[in-house]
Amino acid sequence: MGADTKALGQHWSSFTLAQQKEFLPLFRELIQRAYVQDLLLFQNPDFVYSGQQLLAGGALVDTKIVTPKDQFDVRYTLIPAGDKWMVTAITVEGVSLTVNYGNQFNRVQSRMTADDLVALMKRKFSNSNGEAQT
Amino acid sequence: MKTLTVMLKDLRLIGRDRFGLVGMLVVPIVVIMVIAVATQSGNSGKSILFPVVNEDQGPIATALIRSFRKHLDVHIVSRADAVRLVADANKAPAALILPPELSKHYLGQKPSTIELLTDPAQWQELDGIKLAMLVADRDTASQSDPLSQELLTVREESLTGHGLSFSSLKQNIPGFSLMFVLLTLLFTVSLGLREEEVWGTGTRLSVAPVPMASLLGGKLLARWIIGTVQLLLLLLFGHFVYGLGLGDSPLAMVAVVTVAVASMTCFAAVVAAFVRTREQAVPVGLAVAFILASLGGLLWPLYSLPESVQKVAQVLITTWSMFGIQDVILRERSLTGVSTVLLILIAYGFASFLIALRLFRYSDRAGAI
Repeated sequence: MGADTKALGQHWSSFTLAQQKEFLPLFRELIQRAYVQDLLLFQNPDFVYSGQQLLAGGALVDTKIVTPKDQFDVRYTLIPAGDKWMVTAITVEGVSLTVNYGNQFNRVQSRMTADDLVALMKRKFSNSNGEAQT
Repeated sequence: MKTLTVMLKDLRLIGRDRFGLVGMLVVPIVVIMVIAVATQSGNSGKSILFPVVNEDQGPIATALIRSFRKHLDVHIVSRADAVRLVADANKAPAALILPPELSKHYLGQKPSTIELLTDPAQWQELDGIKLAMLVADRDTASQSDPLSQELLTVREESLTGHGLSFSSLKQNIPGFSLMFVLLTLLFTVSLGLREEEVWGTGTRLSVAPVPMASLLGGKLLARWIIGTVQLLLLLLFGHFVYGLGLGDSPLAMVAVVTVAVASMTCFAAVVAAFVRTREQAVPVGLAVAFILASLGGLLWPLYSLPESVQKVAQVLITTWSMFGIQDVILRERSLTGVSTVLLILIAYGFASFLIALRLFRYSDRAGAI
């Protein structure tokens, strides 16, 4: 189960196949942008590997983002995917991005349909593309 | 005809005083330039200095500072400099301390307190800073919520003109120009009428077969022409030097200026009727000009005055003159749009002329000197 399906939780099954197909690349893009945007806010960051734990069916990798004044714990939850590892959750300072996004999806889903959600994500991307060009 | 003769005679007399004529323009222009330099705020919010002490240096501090920079002149400083800028130098209305571990707490969804050191004496700028902080808080929160939607989008539309922003020059240039024209009229009408007594012509004029209405009318006509030219030139100076917009209708502007100066000229004649000697002209003129300028919204916006004062201001000639000019400059009204103000000013001027006519007399005592 990827971060996308985890974030959507119970709502995932209510998506049609076509909606799931449209949703996945948008969600991936959303995560990447949010993650990169957050990273860009760190001043002179160093990324430090601080340990790993192998679990049944996956692994946890602990890292730190070290800035001149502070350090921030970032934990990645991974599962094997063929000969690679796939990140299924990112936890920053004990707060899971997946849970955070899940809460946001829940909030949005309670008042809009799957099509509306996809349309909202598309609109966000087109807006941020417009901002990036200006 | 007799009115015209008196007017032409007075215009010739005024024309001889070249220094006085130049001074009528130079003095207000110098004052307007000084005021413009002192109060110019073209960048609105960005002219507010906002020292920020970044003891966090984390991503949340960066996001907050990025948002502040859209609206304020942000300077990253040490805590000692922040205190100095706010408390000692009084250059900044407030300074913000972003504490250590602010980002760590924020990302861990734990509350933090940020400290705002303020100088309440600079309350207007302080309010601007507090608004910018609310916006920054919203911007930062939306950063961690990629699905956040702006449910309210503000689309600003001016109902009274094309411009959405206001510069202090739009208040100061017309305000100070009107004040100087009023001041000039109060002095010159009073002095001009009383000088006839000093020259000994007052008594002759009062017994001459010229109706008092023609005599006073001719003298006021000369001052009206000079005052109208003075006000138009001062507004044109503001237009060409400071880019002051003069509205969409030159006709409306000329009409407002002409009628406002006519009305103020007649009002100056009423004041002149109470001035018995040349020596009284300066203190009385100064007092009347400054009271009318301050209550009539020439020195500062009328809406910034207490409500009771605003009510009193409704009966002042300066208030309606300023309304008229602002209607043309700020609200871009046409001649029809300013017709009510014009009618009020005309009525004011007509009533003032009748009162002046009734009250003004040349003094026999002065004429005997």
